[in-house]
Amino acid sequence: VSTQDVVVNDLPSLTPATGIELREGYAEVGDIKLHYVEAGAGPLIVLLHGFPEFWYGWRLQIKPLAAAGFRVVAPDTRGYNLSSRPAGIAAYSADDLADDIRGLIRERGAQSACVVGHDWGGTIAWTLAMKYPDVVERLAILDAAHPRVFARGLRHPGQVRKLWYVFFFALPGLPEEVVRADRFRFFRRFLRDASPPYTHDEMDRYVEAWSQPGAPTAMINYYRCSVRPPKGAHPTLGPISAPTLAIWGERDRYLGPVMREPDRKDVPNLERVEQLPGASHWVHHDEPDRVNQLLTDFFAPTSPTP
Amino acid sequence: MVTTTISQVRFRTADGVRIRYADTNGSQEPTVLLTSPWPESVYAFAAIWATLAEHARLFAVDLPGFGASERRDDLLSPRAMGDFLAELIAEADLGRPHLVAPDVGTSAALFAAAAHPERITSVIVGTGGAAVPIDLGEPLRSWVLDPDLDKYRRLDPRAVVNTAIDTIAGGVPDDVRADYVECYDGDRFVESMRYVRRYPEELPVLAELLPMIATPVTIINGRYDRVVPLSNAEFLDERLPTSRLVIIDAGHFVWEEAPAEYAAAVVDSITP
Repeated sequence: VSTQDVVVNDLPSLTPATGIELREGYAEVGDIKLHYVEAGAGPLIVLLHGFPEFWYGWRLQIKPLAAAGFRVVAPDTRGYNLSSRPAGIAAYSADDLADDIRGLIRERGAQSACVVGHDWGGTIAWTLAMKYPDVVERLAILDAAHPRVFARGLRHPGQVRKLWYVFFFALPGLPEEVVRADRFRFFRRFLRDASPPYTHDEMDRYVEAWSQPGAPTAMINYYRCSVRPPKGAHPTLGPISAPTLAIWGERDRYLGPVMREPDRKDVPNLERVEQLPGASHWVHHDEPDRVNQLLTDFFAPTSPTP
Repeated sequence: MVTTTISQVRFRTADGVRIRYADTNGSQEPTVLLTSPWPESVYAFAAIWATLAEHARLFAVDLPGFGASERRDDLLSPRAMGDFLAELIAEADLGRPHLVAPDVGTSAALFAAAAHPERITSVIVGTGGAAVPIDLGEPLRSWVLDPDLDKYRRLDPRAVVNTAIDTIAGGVPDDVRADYVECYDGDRFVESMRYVRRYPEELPVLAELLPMIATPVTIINGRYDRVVPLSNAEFLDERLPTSRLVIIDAGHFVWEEAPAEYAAAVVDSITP
């Protein structure tokens, strides 16, 4: 475990809770090294960022959740920022990404955790809860469609339009070149409807993460692997036993209403679907207080992890 | 084996090039000559074939270098392809057809109408690059403007075509997709890029000709086309003296995403 103050030392100015230290480290999970930021003590909450963010996407959640009595771990998922970037498309299947998080939870000394996933992190979280029910105590999903609903949505004309970039990313080669242009303008535009807008300083952090060698290809390979799964990478769907909370930014421009309600048979313990008016896809950024309260309330029944 | 409603798909020679075409034959008037979109083939018209066949004799062709037709490098430009269309009309004895030329056919058909107005009754185009300066979305923009063509040789053409076809809301039948993929396998996709890479040179020439085209033109474009934005259709509509713009709630592949609306717009254009 190494500490890189340079990465985390500007967080106090960005997050409200004081007296809580951020720790940073690397977890060895099989052949993969996952970089993470950690804070607090208590029952474990794992925060899984989406595309095109990295652990820093949770900057407005980490300290408040720690202050509420949880130990919070926010990794860079495989391929992102400072985590390992295995070569090839097949290395970015939802199955492998979920296995990473199971390994991370174990490496952090727990058998299970409350898991929060946004966007692609939500896909990982759905998959983790499906594959390893014993690992996920409670599941909170922010702006991420259940895999079955997502696959169905991709055949819906309105959704095809909203998710045009998914197909663009599936192309070989070209997307990497296009996204790099003009300081990652293509990626920056994904964040454009956040309200309040991301500051220049925040955007600089993202550009720095995207500039890590090989990061854009790895990030795009998530999509390639999902749109055209290599042989053996087809996910299997099963019911999720964990109590589940879904939070949506009502203005989510990427995932419309047809994407928002999972099938009851897939998520029998879905406790509620919360739509936050005025919030965009970046709901944890737009409405941090509301999201933090929803998460704290939802995870309150959790008993401390061993 | 493709099992769609398009029958009588076969090969012939036109302008010295072996081309694939489909023909309903018969003596029905008028005749409609359809040119296949990219990266697709004559089977792109499967969903509208029966409807159009009630109103006209249909003759659909894979343009040279596209679909399953032989490539001849000197024909891979909108202007040269326009001359090819005029030659095809004469050789295939199509009379004075209506020309349905979506996507890459747009600029070729308009060049044909400008140079050979006596051979064409009307032109139905759209979803093809037309605006000057170039106004295209990715990935087409890079395919047109990237100075390095060779790097595209390293890409798997099957993945490129499959990805393009994935964006068709509602999908296409498996056998049709298989035909598209096969048509552009090997070097055929990257070589077909040469056609659109002539846009920066030839679209400004076409823009100058547009005000002189007296042939009636219908422009059909998807409202949500990200690859060839609506601005291209509007560019044509503003400059053509006898044009009509039909906007359909669809993406790029209008003929497959909204076949009923597309066919209705074509029928409307060819009916006196």
